[in-house]
Amino acid sequence: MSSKRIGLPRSLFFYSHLPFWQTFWSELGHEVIVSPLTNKDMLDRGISNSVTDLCVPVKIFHGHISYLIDQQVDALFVPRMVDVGTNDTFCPKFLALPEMIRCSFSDMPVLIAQRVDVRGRLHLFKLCSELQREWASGSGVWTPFKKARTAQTQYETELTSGKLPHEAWPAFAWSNSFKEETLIFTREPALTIAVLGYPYSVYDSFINSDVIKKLRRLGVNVVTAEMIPLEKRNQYRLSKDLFWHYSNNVVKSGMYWLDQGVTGIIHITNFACGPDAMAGKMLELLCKQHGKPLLTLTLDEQTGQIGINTRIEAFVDMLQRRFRYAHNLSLHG
Amino acid sequence: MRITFPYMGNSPPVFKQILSEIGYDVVVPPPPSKRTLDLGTKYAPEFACIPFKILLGSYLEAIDLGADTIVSTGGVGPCRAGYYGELHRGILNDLGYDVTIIIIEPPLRHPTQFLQAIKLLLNERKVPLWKLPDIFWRGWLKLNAIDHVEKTSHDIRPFEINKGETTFVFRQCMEEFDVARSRAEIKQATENSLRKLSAIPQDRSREPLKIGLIGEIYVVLEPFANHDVQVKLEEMGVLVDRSIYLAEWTRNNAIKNREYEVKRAAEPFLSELVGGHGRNSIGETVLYAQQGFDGVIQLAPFACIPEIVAKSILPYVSRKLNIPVMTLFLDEQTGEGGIRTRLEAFVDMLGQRRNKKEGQLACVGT
Ligand code: SF4
Ligand code: SF4
Repeated sequence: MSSKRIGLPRSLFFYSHLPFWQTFWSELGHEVIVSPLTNKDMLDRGISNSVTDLCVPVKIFHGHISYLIDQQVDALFVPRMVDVGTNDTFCPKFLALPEMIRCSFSDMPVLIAQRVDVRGRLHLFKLCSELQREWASGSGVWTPFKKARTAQTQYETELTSGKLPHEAWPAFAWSNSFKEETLIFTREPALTIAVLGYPYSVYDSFINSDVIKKLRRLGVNVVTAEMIPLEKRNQYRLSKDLFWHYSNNVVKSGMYWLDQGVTGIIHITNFACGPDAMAGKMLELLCKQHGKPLLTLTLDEQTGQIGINTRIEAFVDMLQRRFRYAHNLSLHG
Repeated sequence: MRITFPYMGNSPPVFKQILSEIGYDVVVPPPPSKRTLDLGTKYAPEFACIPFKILLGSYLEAIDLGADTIVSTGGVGPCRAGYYGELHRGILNDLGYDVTIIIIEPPLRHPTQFLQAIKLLLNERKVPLWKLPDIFWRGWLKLNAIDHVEKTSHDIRPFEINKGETTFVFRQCMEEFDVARSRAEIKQATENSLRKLSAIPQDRSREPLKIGLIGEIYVVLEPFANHDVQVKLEEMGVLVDRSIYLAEWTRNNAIKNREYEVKRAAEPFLSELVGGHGRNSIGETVLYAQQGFDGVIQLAPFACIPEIVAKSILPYVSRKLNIPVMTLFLDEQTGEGGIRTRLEAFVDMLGQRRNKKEGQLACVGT
């Protein structure tokens, strides 16, 4: 079978699984096109190609799809994320993503919309074999699968070592305006803030006006949910676990980082996000119990840089004062 | 133990009967009102769905009336309803109320929690165990009877000659049901109600527009949450078929194994379950189109996940099957007036559409 151009949107769950799928498809001998970091144009296209009441991340997903269609890909990979072996599922919008995309664009390349319901490694392998049989009957599946797994494991290890996605996987760095500045800390950063939220909101530096970089510039040590090894996060249980994979991650990471004694939490959420109405409230109650400040940033398509900037600065200011007060340092010097 | 329960549509008399016969002191929450919603909105997360807010407000009102225990149901997702109880508990406790929330989880998925809840409940009962089946059975009968009577009222209202009469009679019927407990009384109440309803003067010569009502269960069933759309439409002379009744009997009777039909109808457009009534909304729309309805109205709580999924797919269904679909999003800011205007415009449009179609047919005929 001849080589095809396969498009992967850099959006939603691909923030967690891109290394696996990118490696897998290119090892099968295809040319993989990953859309760049979200930009204004993609956001606008997403908005005009989807129904108004959707949350921004799904609109952005539409934007990435539209970009990839323009790149004349032969096929789009939009799997239906059902279960990744963590005993929970995904937001219903993920569950219906292939259909939503199909209904939104009239002229479309082939949609590869396999169901990702992989409760064990065997399931994942089976899924990959299916894809290989259909899309690369000439080649084997074992090597691509193994390489994909290695890439994914390595990516996850790098994240748990404290790196951000664009530092841990080259495709995320591409066209990322984020040029690492050498930050000169006068002393050890005093404040540690956990920035929690769905990976597609926390790491999409376009839509969140680059919150992480801003915090780092203010001398804050930033930690995220993905920096916690899975086993550690799974030690935390809720009285009843939430149904949604990423929401569980957010709440459990909140518990973990609160136990680690972070100074405060910033929750990045999306306007009219259903699961977050629940997860966010739980975070709020948790922070209250721990006596830790929480800042909630709600993203929508009009979120302005300025608004976010002032709120972050005010929050960091407040934490600094609290910190000094607690350590009895004089405010004046 | 003073117990209360979630208020929804016509079901409160049934729950009241079952719980009080088991021997609890029952606090029936007042029917939801503006005040209920305001209370709920004040303490619920901003983007919680409107059923969550109304129920929270309703619990707060019941607590004011002396309730100290709430029974509610759990669920397995993937939509938020299954998590209502947990979060209501968190919020109420955080507000400093010392209430117990007993969440009845689905027995197959959470057997221990299910048994615990049942044990907790049964500990307080005042009747011997052998009486329970009869209590539940009569509750079930009553629920079915009420649904049946309500369904009948919907078939009559669009044809009534004196506007408002059906609603007036229906209210009387509900009062009668409120005190009907034994099988004989329930039967009697049903017969009386049906007789009274059919005695309403009607003009059966009209050929009303037919609209299917779909959407999320709570806002479809609770008139307060949907600004009474069904009655409003019927008083405009539209025949409305509602896709959801609490005791599915009323509907299942008409179409055998309706759930399966709906699923099959949705299949080409949405193959995955998305929680709530998301997939049903698609399937019902397909069925309504096949049955020659003039249009469909979708009722969706603002930020309701399954209904937004459905809404993203419905325009496509609507184009393919040539049936107009209008979505009404409902939240605490939705105003009565806005809803009325949109309903009127939609009904107008459907009327014109039908005239045009008939005109075309007439042309072909001549
Ligand atoms: S979890 Fe929230 S932000 Fe993500 S897709 Fe669902 S509704 Fe949108
Ligand atoms: S179906 Fe919609 S309104 Fe009902 S609980 Fe789920 S998200 Fe909320």
